[in-house]
Amino acid sequence: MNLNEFLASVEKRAFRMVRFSTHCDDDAFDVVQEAMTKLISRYRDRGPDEWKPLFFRILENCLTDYHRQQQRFSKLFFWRKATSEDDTDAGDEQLEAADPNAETVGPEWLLGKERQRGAVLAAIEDLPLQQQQCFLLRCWEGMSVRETAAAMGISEGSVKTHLSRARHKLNEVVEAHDQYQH
Amino acid sequence: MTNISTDKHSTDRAIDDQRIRQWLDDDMDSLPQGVSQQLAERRLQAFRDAASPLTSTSGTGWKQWLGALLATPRLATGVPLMVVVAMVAGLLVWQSPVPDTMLDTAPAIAANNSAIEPIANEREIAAAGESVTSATVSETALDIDMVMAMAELDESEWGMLQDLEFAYWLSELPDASIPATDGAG
Repeated sequence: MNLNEFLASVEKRAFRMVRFSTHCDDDAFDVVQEAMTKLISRYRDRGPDEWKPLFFRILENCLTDYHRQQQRFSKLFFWRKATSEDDTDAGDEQLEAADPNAETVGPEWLLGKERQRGAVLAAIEDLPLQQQQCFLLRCWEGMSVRETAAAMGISEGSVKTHLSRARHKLNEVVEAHDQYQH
Repeated sequence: MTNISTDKHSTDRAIDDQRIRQWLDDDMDSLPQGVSQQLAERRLQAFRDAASPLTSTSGTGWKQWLGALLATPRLATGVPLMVVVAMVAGLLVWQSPVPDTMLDTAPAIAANNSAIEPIANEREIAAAGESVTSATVSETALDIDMVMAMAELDESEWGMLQDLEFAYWLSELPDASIPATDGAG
């Protein structure tokens, strides 16, 4: 596997992870591109088995930098509030993306499931940055606690704490929708 | 009993994790085709950027930040304010009186050159030019510093500064010009 193939294999997932945090497509593209550029320019000579942890470490750093810039930006232009048009559209898009097996189950059940999915994805978006990224790296990307800690530059204990809190919040959302459906 | 509830809890958690992972995968797969195309373009651009050291991302953080700042649509409402601030600063610099030292230096040099040596050599002209230029630059920098400092003053500090300015103006007046108040002394 060469570097181009590796990046092609992770770019979509990386984009989605960053998109959860930035709430903006363009910013997510920028962050992912910056991470790619840094990986290529600095670590192209490393072995392919090192690319994944390095890439996600760089991606997390770029994301942290992005949020710092946003903080500076919001201080500088304090009278402006971030627009949340994308956020409001996201739920509708998720509802529109219906399951192809829609005819085999009842529409109400399907709608409930889609709502639950949308609510959980929205809850992931609303998680604090570190909890969100811990959860995504650990549960979606399948990294170990150690790899997650290395990628985020925090201790393993912190990873467990963030993960526990994230899971607790997401489980609350899932359970609330389960109870609503039953 | 505790073990059973713990096992059930961990099983539920695993199911939820699995379910959420599935939703995330579905969500990623449902991304529009345009996103994939743009990601491929960004990947190519990343290779290009990494290949050319001039556009490399290292060490240009503030430039990127500034570029991103200027490219952001949110700045649209900030631009008029920044323009007004720049215009006020420019006005203050323009309004500030030209320092006497700048006006005095050039004629003095010219007078000296003409009196001592009718045809000045190139070295002296260059030296005189340098002194004038450096004086101009330092005065301009001083003006800018002053404007920046004044821009940061709040209302009370500004009032204090005006009081000081008035006191200075008062102290510069000859004693005779100060009107004696009725009944004083």
